[in-house]
Amino acid sequence: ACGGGTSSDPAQTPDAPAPDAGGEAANNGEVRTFSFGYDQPQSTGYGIAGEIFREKLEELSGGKMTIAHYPGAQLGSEPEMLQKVRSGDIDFIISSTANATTVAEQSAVFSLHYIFEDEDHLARALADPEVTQALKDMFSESVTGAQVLSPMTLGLRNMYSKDEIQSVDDLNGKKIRVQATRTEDVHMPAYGAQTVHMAFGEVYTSLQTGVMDIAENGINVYLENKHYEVAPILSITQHAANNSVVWASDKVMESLTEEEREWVQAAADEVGKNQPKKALELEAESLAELEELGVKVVKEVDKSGFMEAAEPIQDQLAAEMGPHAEKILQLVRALR
Amino acid sequence: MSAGMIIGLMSFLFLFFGVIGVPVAFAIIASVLVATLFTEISLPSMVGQLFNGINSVPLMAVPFFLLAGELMASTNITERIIRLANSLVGHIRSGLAQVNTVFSLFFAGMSGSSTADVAAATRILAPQMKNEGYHPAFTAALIAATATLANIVPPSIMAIIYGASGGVSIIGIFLGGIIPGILIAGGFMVYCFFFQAPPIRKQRSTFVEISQAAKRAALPLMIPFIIMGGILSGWFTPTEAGMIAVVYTICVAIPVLKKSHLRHLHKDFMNAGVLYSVPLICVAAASAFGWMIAYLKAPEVVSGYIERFAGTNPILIMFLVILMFIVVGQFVDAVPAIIIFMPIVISLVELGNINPVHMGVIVIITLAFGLITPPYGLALLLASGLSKVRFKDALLQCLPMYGVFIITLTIVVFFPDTVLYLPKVFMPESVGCFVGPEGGYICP
Amino acid sequence: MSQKETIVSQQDRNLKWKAFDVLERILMILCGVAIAGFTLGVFLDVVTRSIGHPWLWLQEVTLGFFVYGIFLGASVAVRRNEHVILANTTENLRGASRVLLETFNRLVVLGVALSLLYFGYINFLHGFQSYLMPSMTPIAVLTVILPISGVLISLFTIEQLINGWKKGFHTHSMFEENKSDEEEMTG
Ligand code: NA
Ligand code: NA
Repeated sequence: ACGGGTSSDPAQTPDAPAPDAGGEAANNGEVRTFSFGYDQPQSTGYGIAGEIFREKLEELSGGKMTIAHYPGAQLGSEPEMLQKVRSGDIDFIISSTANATTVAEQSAVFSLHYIFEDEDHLARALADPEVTQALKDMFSESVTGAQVLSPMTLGLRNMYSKDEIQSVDDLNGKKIRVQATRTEDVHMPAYGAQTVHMAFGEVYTSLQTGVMDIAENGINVYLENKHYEVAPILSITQHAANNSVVWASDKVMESLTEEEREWVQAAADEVGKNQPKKALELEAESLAELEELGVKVVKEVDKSGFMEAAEPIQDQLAAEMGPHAEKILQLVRALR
Repeated sequence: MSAGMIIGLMSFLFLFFGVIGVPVAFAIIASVLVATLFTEISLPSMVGQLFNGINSVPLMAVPFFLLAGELMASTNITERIIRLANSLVGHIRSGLAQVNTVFSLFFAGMSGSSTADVAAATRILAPQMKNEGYHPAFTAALIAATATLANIVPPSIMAIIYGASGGVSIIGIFLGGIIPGILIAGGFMVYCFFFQAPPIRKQRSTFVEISQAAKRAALPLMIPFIIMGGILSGWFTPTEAGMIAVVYTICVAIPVLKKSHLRHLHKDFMNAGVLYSVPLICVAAASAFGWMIAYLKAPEVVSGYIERFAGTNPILIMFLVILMFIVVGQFVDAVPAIIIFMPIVISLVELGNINPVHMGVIVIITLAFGLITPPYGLALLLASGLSKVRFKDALLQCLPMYGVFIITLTIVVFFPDTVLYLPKVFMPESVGCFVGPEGGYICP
Repeated sequence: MSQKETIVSQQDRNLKWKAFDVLERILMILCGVAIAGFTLGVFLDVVTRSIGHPWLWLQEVTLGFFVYGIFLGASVAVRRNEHVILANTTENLRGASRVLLETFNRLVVLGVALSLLYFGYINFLHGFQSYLMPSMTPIAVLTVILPISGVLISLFTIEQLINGWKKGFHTHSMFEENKSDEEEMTG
């Protein structure tokens, strides 16, 4: 079952272009194909971002520059791809801001819980030029070899389980699978839950057998990976954002002319401008599809207990992370 | 150089290095590094990919299930299982051949290692079979062929690699392999019954004898139940189940059954440390090879060809996959083969709308079959080596047994429920069923 | 099969220097420590999770033992000649062609080992800017094993090359008892 809702046909033709293998860069009328890697299927918000980027880049370059999608972690997990984009072996990638902490610790500020009140607030924050600039500054200070071109999102994260989560009390004593980050390890115990670190690929089986009770992710991710089969109740906790960033390797940017670099940046800006709206639409469509499949959705979660526990942690963790994180936190809060 | 030419060069170099005797892992790495020179990928990055390929929690199950099998083989705990098999089927026509098969079926439930099975059976059963007049080449062939069950019946190292690299439910593949494993064991028993009977016939064991043998084998026989029960009830993941099998063997089975062995345990650990690194360095190498294949867009080209040839007919696609892995299995060990070709398999599963667990079990049976086909039939090489018969002779004796695999594979392709029935009963979610709003499971 | 007195492999003595036996012994011990280490790590992971006090950093340590063990084991397996081969082509050759092919094969291995050493070292340096989650330890603490195994494999390959040229490459045939006993693979 595909997520549905993407306008373009995600299927690649058998003779889809591989990136310039021989290094014979395209100067004279040849098409230059860049590698564009991400770790979700092409039918997700990541694929949407790639398609927006491709269309705009082809348009601006008059068809001389394009990308080849590498969906589904074909080129590695996000931390692995982050290393490869920095060494210039992949031209462009998408990584979540959570996994970007493997190269820039302060990126974790976007994983703090309940800093975005709702999807609307999230969309405003990502569209805000000051937030984008602060984000870019933060990454350019810590990361060499690659640069962030634009923020994007897969929406907000929700919890799913075999049981309903109506309020923070329902987390008490439960084992929840989280990404192996400090933010999760501090927030979740504050709700009374025990965190379990587990590779994404193991989540399905572990939910199924009960090694853990709860997992949390975006709605479309929940649908695409069929986690509803093993955790058929989705509770709209919206506790954190699923934000991501588009990266370019310095190597590829330096190989471009000034004008070409502007095209690339303009194509990425297009992602920042249009992707969040489309991704949030996809989330809504996925939710409808899940309900049609018979998944039970708890829409009216009482978030107050969660928020009370989260608020002091936000300041504490942002201070631990550093000045960029504190600045971004304040900018996001100001947009409430 | 075009992408296709680079893939061609890389594959040629791997085969060339392999054929002239470079160890497989090094042949793979060397071919990848040479191919890297023709791309824009940097060499430090490809060397780093070796690390990425094994930096994975699910892969830790591999040494556990190897170690559990080796520990039991080296402590002669396996002998107790052979005695039990003997009391159950030793009286049937071709008695010891039947015992061999039944032993492998039991042993398969405890270990994911076909080589441990070969080692144990050759040590204990081969001399007895020779005394009763079986041809040593036949014995070697049967030991090798039945040892493939270790990878089909859970726990299976191939299933772990397949599930970990393909994002498929490992427990689903575990459960799915049980019935095909029993079918294959049954096939061997029938073949031995009709075609390999020496004149000796033994008496049926009495109920008392059987229950005594069962009691003596009870401790090791608990292992399959601990593994499958523990996973199914959510106590631990498949990786952790492997660890439990090792801890159980060391802390319960060996102290009770062969206490004197505890003094040698540190040697077992050191040897096992090398033992598991050998296949896993192949995993590391294969993941670099697979990365390059994906980077050069080979999966899309191959599934494009297959789509042109087979359309979206699942049966045809499955037979093409079997064919592909039979060919590949001639040259590459099962573990790297799974990793290298996983991107292609994933696109074909989508193309034919095939259940991923069904496809996984088919691939695993095919690759297990590869353990007894030349030139790289590892189990057959090992069995003929250990029993000191010529590989050629063992191979000739093995040929009729290929029929068992071919028939089983055909049945499994045409009747998906031979694979999916047990997962549907014990773990419906693993094959795509889920709890409906009214309770009860909805299966596609 | 006779119980071996020492953990050092007695195969192909003609290709080995006595002095390197110590290195092999140390590596074998480290391999044993590695597998014991990650067995214990996974065990404690289950236990601490079950009693509600998980050690969240444990998985990083466990994976460290696992990864180190693989590369150390793969290195010592070169000296012990325990790596899986596709075909034992050289066994059937005699004289100059044998020497030529044995040399060529080991040069391929040496090339791979030197790549592990040099490019692995560069990769290790890159690893100081990537961190393991959640402890935020540089991943270089794990990837350092690549150049280390490059050094070890280079040493063992050079050992075999020099001894092979001096004393000849002829070793036991692949199917003689001891060796094939250890010719293990996934199976
Ligand atoms: Na057997
Ligand atoms: Na097994």
